[in-house]
Amino acid sequence: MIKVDNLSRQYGTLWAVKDLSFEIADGQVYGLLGPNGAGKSTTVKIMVGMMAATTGEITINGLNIKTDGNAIKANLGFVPESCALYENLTGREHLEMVCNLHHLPVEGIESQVTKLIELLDLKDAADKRIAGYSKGMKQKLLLAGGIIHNPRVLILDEPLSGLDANAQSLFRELIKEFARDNRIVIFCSHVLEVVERICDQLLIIDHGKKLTEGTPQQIMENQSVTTLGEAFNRLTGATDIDDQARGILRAIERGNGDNG
Amino acid sequence: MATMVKEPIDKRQLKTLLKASLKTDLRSSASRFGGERKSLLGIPPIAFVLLMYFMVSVMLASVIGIANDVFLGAFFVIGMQIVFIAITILLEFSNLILSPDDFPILAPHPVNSRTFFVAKMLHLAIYVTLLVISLGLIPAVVAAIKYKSVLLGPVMFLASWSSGIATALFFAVFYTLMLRLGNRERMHRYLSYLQLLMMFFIYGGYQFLPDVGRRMLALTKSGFDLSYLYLTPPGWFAAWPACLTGGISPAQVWAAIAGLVSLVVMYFLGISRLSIGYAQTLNETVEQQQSKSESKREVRGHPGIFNRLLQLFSAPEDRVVWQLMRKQFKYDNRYKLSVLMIIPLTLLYVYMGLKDGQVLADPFNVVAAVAKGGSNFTVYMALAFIPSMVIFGSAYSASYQAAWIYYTSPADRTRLVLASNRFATIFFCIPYLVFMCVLMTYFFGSILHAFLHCVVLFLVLLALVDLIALIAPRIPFSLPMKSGQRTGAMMITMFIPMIAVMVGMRILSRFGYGGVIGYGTIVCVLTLIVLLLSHLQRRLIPRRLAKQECLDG
Repeated sequence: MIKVDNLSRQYGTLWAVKDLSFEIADGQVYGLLGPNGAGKSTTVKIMVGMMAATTGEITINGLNIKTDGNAIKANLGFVPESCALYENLTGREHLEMVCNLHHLPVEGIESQVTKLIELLDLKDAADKRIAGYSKGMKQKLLLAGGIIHNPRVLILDEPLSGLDANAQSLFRELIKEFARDNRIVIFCSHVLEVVERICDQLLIIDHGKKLTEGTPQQIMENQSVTTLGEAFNRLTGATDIDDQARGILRAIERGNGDNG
Repeated sequence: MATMVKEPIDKRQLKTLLKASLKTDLRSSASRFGGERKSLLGIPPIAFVLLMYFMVSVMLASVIGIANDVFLGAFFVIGMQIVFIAITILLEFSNLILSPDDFPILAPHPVNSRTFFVAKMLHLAIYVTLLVISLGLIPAVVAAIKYKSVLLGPVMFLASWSSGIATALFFAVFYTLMLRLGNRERMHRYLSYLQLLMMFFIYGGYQFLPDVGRRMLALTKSGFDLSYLYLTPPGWFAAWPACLTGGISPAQVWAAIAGLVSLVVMYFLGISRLSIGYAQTLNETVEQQQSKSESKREVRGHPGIFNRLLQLFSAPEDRVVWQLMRKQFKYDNRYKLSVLMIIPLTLLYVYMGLKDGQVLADPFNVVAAVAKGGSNFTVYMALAFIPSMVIFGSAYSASYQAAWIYYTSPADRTRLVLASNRFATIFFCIPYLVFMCVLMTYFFGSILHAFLHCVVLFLVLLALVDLIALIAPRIPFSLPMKSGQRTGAMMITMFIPMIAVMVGMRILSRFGYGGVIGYGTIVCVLTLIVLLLSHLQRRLIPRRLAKQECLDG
């Protein structure tokens, strides 16, 4: 179980996250949604230990991220939004690195890495430098690195970007399988159709604060709409999307007319 | 693409391009929400380079002061400036000249070639002007005062500036030609070897500057014919101020014209290279080369000898860092260069310690050691700068964002920091110490003295490595490089160890090696210091690392 209690993070005078609280039960796929700059990435980075909270607490399976960081990380997998990898390593070397950082038994690393590489269709590229990988291949590699140590909690930040349709389906199934095994998956994405399909519970935030929490169905019912997209727009104040689009068109026409 | 002549310069685009390139170059790559990374001694890296060059300019000015000829003084100053500017461009600003990455960014926008070229030129000119101001202003002022000519100062500065611009354009042409002719990676490799070669100049320049000045002065006094100097590029530009001071010879006039012509030629060659059309060609070439080289590249799947050796080490953090250091060395040119730089430096210091018939003094022989003075202590300096250069080089990387993995895994970050220190000690310092031991056995004439001295040096080395980790604990390859940082680091690694080693070795040889008790005391004290530092590392580094956050650009 994950418990986030009054989490806040301040950058200078800006509060990226302010008094955010939520709980995630075992076996749940938990969606973290919000417009750009809402504080999703900051929340995730604090949860995985890349950043410190200004105030507030995070406990995962009873362990506090501040005091038991490494014990939590041993059972935590993370797939970041950016494809930040040491590009001079090969895919195989990257996965071996992850295994070493997680202190996996040395004798099992080679077979574990090879198995995962084959299952994720990375066999041909496994011994080539990451610098030559496509975005999708890097994403697969990041996913492999996120799960190779068999974590109980998996945090995915926009994991589907750059993947082809087959790989996306594979990822979605994998996420569901993870949750069925009573593990926790935290899923951050802007693709609301996917979120609606795979998440059991959703948290929508904006300006670092909680807007709503519940199942996709509950959120849609509360907002009296039929799609999650409409609910999201309504909650984040983007209700006049059509007007906004027309406004943009008018503005660029006017701007070019002025210049011409 | 329209021709250069027909296209007018778009002032707004020019301003935008120039602003963007300067910002990209100078803005620190700290986290998105601020939090500037601290640079060397808290000074921005580029400012640090300029400050160091300003100090060099004082030395250059002293050559103007002692030279009894305008041309000779100007030749020396401009010659040194050309070397310094070339090194700075190679080390820090090669992307500024022309990056194949420009095209994909600018191609979708209606930027014409002329605007692109002028923006590039101005960008280059700003840097060259800054460098020339820091290197050439004081010598120009000194020349004006010495020869009592108000015009001489500006002309000398103009000559310095023109030589700087010509050098920068020469490198633009050279760099792009090499990119077009060969594989990009191979070109980077060749460039790094060239940089390595030029390191001799920069370090040699500092060390031998006064010596060269004295020799040149002696040459002029002996009436030696220096007209062959007019054939060299520094001679072309040095002829400009020389033409002002009367007694103009035809050789001087031709040399001055050659300087002007070289500038014009470089300008027109530069136009063809710094155009957006050329950027397109370059981008296409590089893409083709990259796809070819990546498809050819197959890295061995099975662990080699190094990997098997690595597995013998118990700590996984060591395996991770050492593997990464090995791969970065193989493929990351910047890192490779920062490590290879150790070779010319070491050779230079060893040469300086042994030159002019000086020999390494046996520190157990107090009278001999004191009598030999300080210069032979330079052979010990490598011991100080080798670990600092390896450790410093291993902290920075273009892939610094990939360091998120250290923060999200249960790896012991203190061990990660110390792994690069151990790597520097085992693979660089200990081999040098063995080399020193051989050298000292030869000069001391006693293997026992050499061995005992090496024991002390080893303890000093361990203390120094521990101290580096304690002062600046850096997770390997987790920090972004900033322009000017490497040159600044080079300066630091040169001056600080120099002072520390000179003072330390003098104290050791005067008071420490007097007898068995003195030597024993030194060994015990050093051992205690090493133990104390190790203890402090275990206590303080985790605390400092706990405050560090992952930089994600």
